[in-house]
Amino acid sequence: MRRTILAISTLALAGGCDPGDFNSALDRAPVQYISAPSGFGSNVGRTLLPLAPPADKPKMAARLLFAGTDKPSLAVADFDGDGKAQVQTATSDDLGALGLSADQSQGQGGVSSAAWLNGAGATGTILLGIPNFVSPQGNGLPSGRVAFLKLVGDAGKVDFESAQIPADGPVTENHFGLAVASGRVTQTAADEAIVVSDSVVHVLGVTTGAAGSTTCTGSLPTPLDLHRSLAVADFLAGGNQEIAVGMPVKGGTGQVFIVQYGINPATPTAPAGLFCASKQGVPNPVGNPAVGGFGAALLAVPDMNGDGLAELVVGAPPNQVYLLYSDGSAPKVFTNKVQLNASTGRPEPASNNDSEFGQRVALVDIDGDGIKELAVTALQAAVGSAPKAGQVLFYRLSGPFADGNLLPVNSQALAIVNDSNPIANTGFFGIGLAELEFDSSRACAKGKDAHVPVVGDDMGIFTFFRFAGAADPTKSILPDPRCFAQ
Amino acid sequence: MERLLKPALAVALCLVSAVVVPERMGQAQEQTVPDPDLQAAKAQFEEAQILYLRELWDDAAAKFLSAYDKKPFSSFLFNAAVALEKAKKLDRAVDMFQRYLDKDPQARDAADVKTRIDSLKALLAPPPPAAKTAEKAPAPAAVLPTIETKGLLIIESKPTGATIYLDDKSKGIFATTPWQGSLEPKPVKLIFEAQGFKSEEREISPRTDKVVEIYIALSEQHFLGWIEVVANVPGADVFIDRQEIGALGKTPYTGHLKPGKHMLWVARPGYQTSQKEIIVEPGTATTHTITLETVDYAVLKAGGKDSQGAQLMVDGIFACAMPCEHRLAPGEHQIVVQQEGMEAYTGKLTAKRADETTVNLQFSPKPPRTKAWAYAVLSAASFSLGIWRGVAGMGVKDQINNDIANPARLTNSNDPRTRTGQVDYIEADVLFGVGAITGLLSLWNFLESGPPSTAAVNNINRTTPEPKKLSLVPFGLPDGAGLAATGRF
Repeated sequence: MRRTILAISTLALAGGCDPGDFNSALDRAPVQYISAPSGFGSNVGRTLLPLAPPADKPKMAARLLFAGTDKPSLAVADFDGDGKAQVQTATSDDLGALGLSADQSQGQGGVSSAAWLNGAGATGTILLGIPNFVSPQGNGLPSGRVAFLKLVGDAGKVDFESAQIPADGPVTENHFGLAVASGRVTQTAADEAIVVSDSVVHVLGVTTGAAGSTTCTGSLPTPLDLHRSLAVADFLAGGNQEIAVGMPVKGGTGQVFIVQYGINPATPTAPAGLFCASKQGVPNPVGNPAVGGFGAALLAVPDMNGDGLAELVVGAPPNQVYLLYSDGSAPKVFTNKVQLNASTGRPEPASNNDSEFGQRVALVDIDGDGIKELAVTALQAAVGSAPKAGQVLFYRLSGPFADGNLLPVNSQALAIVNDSNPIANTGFFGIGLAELEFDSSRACAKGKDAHVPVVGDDMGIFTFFRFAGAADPTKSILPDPRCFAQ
Repeated sequence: MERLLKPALAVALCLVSAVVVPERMGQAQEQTVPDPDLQAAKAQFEEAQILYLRELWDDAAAKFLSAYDKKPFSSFLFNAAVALEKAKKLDRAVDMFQRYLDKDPQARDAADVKTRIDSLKALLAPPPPAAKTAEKAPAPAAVLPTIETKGLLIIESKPTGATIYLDDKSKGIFATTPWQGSLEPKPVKLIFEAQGFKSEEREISPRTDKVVEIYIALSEQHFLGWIEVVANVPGADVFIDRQEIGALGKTPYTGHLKPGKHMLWVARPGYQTSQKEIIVEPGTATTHTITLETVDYAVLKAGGKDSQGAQLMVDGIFACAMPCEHRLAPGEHQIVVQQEGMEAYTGKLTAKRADETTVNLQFSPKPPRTKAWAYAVLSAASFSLGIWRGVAGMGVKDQINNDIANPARLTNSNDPRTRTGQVDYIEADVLFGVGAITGLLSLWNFLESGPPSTAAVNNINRTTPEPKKLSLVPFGLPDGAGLAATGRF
């Protein structure tokens, strides 16, 4: 009896059930989830910014910056191939140095957008849009701010440092930093910071270290809804990049403005500057009702029609996504479109047409063919028995398709991802979309770079290393870049 | 003559008063009961002697006869005859001598008295005719030898019938008691013997003018033998014939024994018991010297309260059930005492030859095992529940692993089943922990011991002289018992 008790006790003490076994198992899960770090509010997964892995970290395959939009919070998750997204959160000191005062009340210091700047003098600088920032020198309204962040290696960790002095929005504007992007609009050698307030587009040169230089004041109408989207690419002939600004209007008709730098034809004597080159609504409105959500999401995609210019994907929730492209006439405008209609392009029933299809768009090469697929968020799509949980659908952009369209109209999605544990009504799965690229020279999956979608919702961030529900699952499954036995 | 007699009379008077002092012989002492007649006779005798010394022969003779009337001793008649002869009353003297012979025909002087009678009768006979006288020269008158009174010797003994020898037994038996008579007034040794009694001797000086009364109480003959037992180890127990009745004493021992063969044991702890057959001669004193050898082992005496039935283990081998004694070889030994329901006692003991080690156990009860069993049951239940929860958690984990391996499923690293499984595992771990803790507590309680049983160990070496002490030892005597105080200093 004594021996039995002793043996059982010893066995139990020596072995037991290690709850960590689940973590080990889940390290191999095809979907890795990053929950909200400590100090983050809700809306964790809205602002996602993939970063190139640092040169001094040869094993680090990918890196992702994400920020909270509710309160000042910033974190970096690195994917070093071990299957875990090690998350490092900016401290309150870091945030203070960045101008993201932790003293800001909730909703005032959140980062709603981010962009990565490249080019001489700007490489590695991260632009953060803080539209609800209330400047102490302002009129008490959220005039907004943009901050410049540099991530510095510090004893194996990431140190959040300010790259330069933050730029506050003019007191005549509100919500400076609603959307930010990087681009070379004024033909500079380095990326410029494209910052949008609720009514103005700013192009800030960062090579001189000074904030702000050229504006397009008055070129945008005052929106009825606080949302802006940005896409910067060479959409039009002329050699410079243009700025596409999406202005969805709730209850009205959303629009996309093309802002161009140069001599405004309307004022040929005036010096070169920013001007609004085009205002795009829903093309060919015949048969297409006005869509208030038009412009909710913008995405510049590589040339698809062979004119050497980028095309523009426009999300038009609740149920459409458009591809705008130039017809080659001068001046070139987006006079042509193809439409990806949620009612025909998705496998879900028509009753889900109000699923906010098109709220976010992104490019992700999910099948490894070198051509990125279009990821579209249906923010309130039903998932199983959970209505309005949200999902992301992937479409091939390797057209032209049989119908001559550039978008696979009436085609089914290549893959659909969603939260495996969807939250009904408040899931917001897909509110953030990004592509995370694993460098094959660094990741464990050798020989082929891996591109995986990163999907954010209000509670966390999903990284999909596998897809299900695709028409051809074998093509949707890439070599897992993580460092465990394949 | 008168000058000589007067001092003698004075001495005689003094002696008469002391003559009847009872004799003490041996261990027995008897006091004779005064005989009034004898006393009266003695008084008459003494008066007669006084009258005789005053040459008042007739009065003296009367007194002697008066004494005879009180006690008819023949000597009184003889003395009366002598006094009458002195008084020239020869015919009466002849008669009195004749009465004397009649009274005591075996008297040692009977022949002389008969001759005297004849002589006296011759003096009293008429003279022969003249012719004859004339023709012949007148015959001289007969001359009688001097005669004196004689004393009286009264010899009595206890027991009566004792044989009396004079001076030397080789002369033969003189008389048997009781005896009265007269002896020549010269020192003589009286030897008394009686069957079963120890012979006695007495030297006396008989007087002619005294009544000497001798009483001899013979002591019983010495039929026991006396022994003395001594050993090289004082204080050893002495057993004779039977050991089971206990020791009769300790060395050095003295005592009486019946004649014959006896078995003698001399024993003392720490020494090998010596046994010897002895022969006791009656009336002898014999000293027996015993040499005791030291034993080549030690003795362990184990006992104590609640020790009844406890098992004494010596060097891992059962020795005896307590209380008990166990012999130990000289050297170091491991002692373990186990008693049901009690804590075991463990100790070491170094034994030397002739050591006597007393181990007085005081057991400490083992604590009850109720708590231990309760913990054991709780532990078993906890382990059972833990296994149940653990299996459930493993099922969840297997399910998750299967889903992870299934290409058709997109298992999330935040899979909610993880929490369920982890809760199962945590529950299992908690239960295992509770099981382990209660198991250890159970084990602890099972193995828990109360205060250790203790033992008072007292070791003495029997070859070491005992400490100084004073003790009273009873002893027996043929006619009683007593206490003998013995001391060792």
